[in-house]
Amino acid sequence: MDFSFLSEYWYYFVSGTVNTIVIAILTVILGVIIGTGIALMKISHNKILKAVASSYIEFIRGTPLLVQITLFFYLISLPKLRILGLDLDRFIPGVIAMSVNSGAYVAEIIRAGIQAVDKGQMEAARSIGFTQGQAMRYIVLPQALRNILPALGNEFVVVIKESSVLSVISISELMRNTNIIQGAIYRPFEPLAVTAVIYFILTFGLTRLLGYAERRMRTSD
Amino acid sequence: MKKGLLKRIFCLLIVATIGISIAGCGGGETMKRIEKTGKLVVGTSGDYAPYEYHMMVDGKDTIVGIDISIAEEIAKDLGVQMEIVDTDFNGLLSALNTKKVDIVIAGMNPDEKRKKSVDFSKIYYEAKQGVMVRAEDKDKYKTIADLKDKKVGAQLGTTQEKIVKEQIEGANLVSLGKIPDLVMELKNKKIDALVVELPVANGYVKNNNDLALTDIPVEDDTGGAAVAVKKGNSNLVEQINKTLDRLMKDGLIDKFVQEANEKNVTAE
Repeated sequence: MDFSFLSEYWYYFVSGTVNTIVIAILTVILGVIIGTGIALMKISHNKILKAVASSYIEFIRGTPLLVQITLFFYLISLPKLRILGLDLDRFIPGVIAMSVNSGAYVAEIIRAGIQAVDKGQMEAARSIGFTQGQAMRYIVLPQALRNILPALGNEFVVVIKESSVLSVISISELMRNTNIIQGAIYRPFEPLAVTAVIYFILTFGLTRLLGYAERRMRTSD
Repeated sequence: MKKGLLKRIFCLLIVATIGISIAGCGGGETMKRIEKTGKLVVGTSGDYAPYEYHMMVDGKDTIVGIDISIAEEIAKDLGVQMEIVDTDFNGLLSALNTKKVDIVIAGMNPDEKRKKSVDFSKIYYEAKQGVMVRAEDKDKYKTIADLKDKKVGAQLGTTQEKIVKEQIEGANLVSLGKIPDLVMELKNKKIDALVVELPVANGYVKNNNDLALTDIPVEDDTGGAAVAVKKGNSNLVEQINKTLDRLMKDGLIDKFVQEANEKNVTAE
């Protein structure tokens, strides 16, 4: 074990970690937007919307993320753009693929959260004159949010770890930068060990943060 | 409904494929593009020391190595700036054919299969191949016959893979995409030997006490590394060959190799 390369190659770990975090945050935001839409479509009474949502979820959950990422990368062709050291022509297809994937899982999380809210809440809201949409927005969704948050946090942790797959399309996130260091210093093991520790710190820190948020929510009952 | 979705995705795939192939047609225009933009876009795969690898130079992430020094000379002779695109080795030739890069320089051997899809310059560096093993096993492997029935690793889709298949009788080939992964397998006794280019092998042996190079001779008929350009750009190939001739005459390529090896030893 020799970690002397860190003095020269620390920058690659830092930039890789930053990129991984940026990717994860964007993916979760986009994933939640897509997921909410799909979940609402799936619980709606419109048969067509329902079928579209179901096939989306089944297709995305039934194919590996690796396949989806490579597919999106070849389907979405962008001109070469570089902002803050990120190749956007790779970054954008990568984030879209991650979000589309995450959206399918988030949709199920949200659907479960909404369906866990007592039916009587919707009935009561309708009986005092709310429309279906209003009742959903003001009465059901806020309550569902509390059921959803823990699982959503879990999805965030999953996204951080899964984003390492993006290294196959050469996005300079943490895993790709690890490959770069491995190749440059002729030592395969040590950079991988450092990377494992960084991923763990990221996910562990996030888990603690989520635990704190959940406790705060419970006390507000 | 699901069927409809699949159909649509399939159609999209076909359209994309056709689009890419149309974009890939036409030729001879790379030179014009270089002249027009004043920029030579060089495609490489920055995880293959000492040919090309990342390094911090004056606090900035830079790709350096033998190939990069050569590309700089080519750009200089063309009188243009150089820009590097760092991507996966597997994607390099398609980047060339979709005009994302003007030339590819990545320690690439001009084998028959590749020659069908792109044109190559003359060979600028004849790398010899070597067999790397664990240091404790060095005495066990003296000839190529000693590798019989052993697990031998090589990088996926490379000349080395072919060498294992054709020259080592009864060897079990283990192919992986990345050399570091193969080295890890060798260290952890998952494979017994690794066929790899000598400049690369030397780097690993220098940086890892538990690895050693055998004296097993390996024949390689593909000849070495060359620069790839899109098909039908003979004027550009000519220019590149001129630069390579000059570098070889002045012994500069050997100097680049030496420089890359010296710069690159970080540990110990």
